[in-house]
Amino acid sequence: MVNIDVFILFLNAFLTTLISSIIVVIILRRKYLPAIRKMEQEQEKSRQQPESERSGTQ
Amino acid sequence: MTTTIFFVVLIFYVVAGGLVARLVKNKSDFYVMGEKGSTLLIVGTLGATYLSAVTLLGIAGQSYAEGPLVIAALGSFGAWIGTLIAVVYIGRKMKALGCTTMPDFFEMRFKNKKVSIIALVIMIVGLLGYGVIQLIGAGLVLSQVTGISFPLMIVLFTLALLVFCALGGMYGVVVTDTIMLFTMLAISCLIAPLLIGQAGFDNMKALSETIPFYWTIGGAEQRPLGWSISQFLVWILFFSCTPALVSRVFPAKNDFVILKAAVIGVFLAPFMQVIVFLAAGGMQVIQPGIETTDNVMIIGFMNHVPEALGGLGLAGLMASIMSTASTLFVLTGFALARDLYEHLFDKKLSEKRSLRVGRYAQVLVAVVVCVIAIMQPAAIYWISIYAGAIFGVGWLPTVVGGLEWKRMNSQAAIGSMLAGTTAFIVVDELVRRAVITLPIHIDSLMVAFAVGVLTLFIIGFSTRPSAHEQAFYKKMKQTSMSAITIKDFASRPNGLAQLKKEYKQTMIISISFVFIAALIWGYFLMMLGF
Repeated sequence: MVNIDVFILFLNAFLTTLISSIIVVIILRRKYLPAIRKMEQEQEKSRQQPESERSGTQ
Repeated sequence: MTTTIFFVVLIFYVVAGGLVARLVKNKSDFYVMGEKGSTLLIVGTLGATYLSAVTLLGIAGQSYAEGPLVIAALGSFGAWIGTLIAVVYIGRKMKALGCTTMPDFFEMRFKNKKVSIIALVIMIVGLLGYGVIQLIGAGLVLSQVTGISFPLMIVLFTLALLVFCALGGMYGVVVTDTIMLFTMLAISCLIAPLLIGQAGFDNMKALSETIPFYWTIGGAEQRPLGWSISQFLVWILFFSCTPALVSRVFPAKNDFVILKAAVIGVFLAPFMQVIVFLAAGGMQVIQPGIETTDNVMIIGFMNHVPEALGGLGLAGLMASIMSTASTLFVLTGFALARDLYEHLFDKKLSEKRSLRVGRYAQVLVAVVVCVIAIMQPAAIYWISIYAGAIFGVGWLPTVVGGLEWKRMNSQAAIGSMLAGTTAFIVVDELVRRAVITLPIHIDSLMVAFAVGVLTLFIIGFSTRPSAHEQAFYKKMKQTSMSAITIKDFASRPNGLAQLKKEYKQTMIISISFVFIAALIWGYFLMMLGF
């Protein structure tokens, strides 16, 4: 049978890392992922623009 | 042998600190290492500052005597969560606002001299009181072990700290902290596991037969659960607003560094502490009956592991003293030079002169620390009772209110800081003199925190913020560390690729450490929990 007090110690030690990791993952997904997607779209748009300009002049 | 180790380690740290000083070219290098801090350096300084001599001496001793769960299971859990709040919430927000020191926040948010002065007094008393008493306690133990006289020990420590702090500023402290962290990790990764191995998990578990309740949260003294819960709350309050931890974020290069440091640094906090506490429990098997329990880990280093590892353990103990002391003292010097002399006295200084003033302040702090530590005036013991926790009651309500509440203003800040600090001292003194008795699950720190918060709300609701406070609140809400970092990456050539690389790296680190933590703590649970 598990010693509940010992279990609480190691659970808390594990929870500390779990909580910090969850917070960091949430920040990454909420703040950085949309920005990355937006920058990717802009890059894609600017890549397509010179191509269409080129096709227009040729 | 111990004296030789002491001098070799001290010289090594001083040489490293001296070499780093050459990198300090301007004011920004001195105060925030030019905001060039990498993940390794920020994790290094965070971990090294977190682990103080209290873990290796006082709490290890208590774990030996009463059982490893007494402080670790709930009290230390509060400290780990507090560290997370300090880094990811308060430190990150303050850095986004451009704070170089914590008093910068009070200055920017309220633009009120009274608020700045009260915040500064709390900072100087808190850091000096807590730092000096730790230096005295650890210095006494180390002097006993090495045979070096206590005054000489303090002078040597002060001279070493002068090299880190006065010459290297934040650069010196962060780099030497990182080097020191590796010595401290040697204790958790090598020496403590060796002691646990010698004791054997079965023998350690069997301790509860000879010492009843040894493997319970209440421990051999059978402390009530209310006490353990109050320790959990007290340590959250204690750590979440302490400048020693919050300011570790300021030298970081960008938000990704802070986020990675939050995961790794917060993982290291229990990793460095719990294994030491378990080893202290193991010492109860290896050598029962140690009366000066504070020395239990030193006895373990000196008598129960190979000589070279014992020396490394002693070096780790020295590192834990010096890294915490250097951070506390460098911040006191910053408060004197930058926040008091330059800002409050409104001195416009050139870059060169400002750097010189910063260094003079460090020399002044070193002299004061040295004199107080050697003289040991009675007042320092009284101050130290309140110094460490003063930020929890004096600053925390104002800082959180300042960051989150639209109505927050200078009157509420003054009222809350004064009421919280006064209530803490008055209630604690009344309890100490047995005039009043608090329930076991209530600590004077919690009462004072409640007084501080209540005062803040009462004054906040009955007064109005100034135009500056309203404007700053608006600006603050539009500022974030992520926005600053994204803008910075977007302005770089190939910025998107770099941003994606950092995103991926931070995500991998976050997920990996969950598995690492599960493996380590799962292993110990299997060995000690069943």
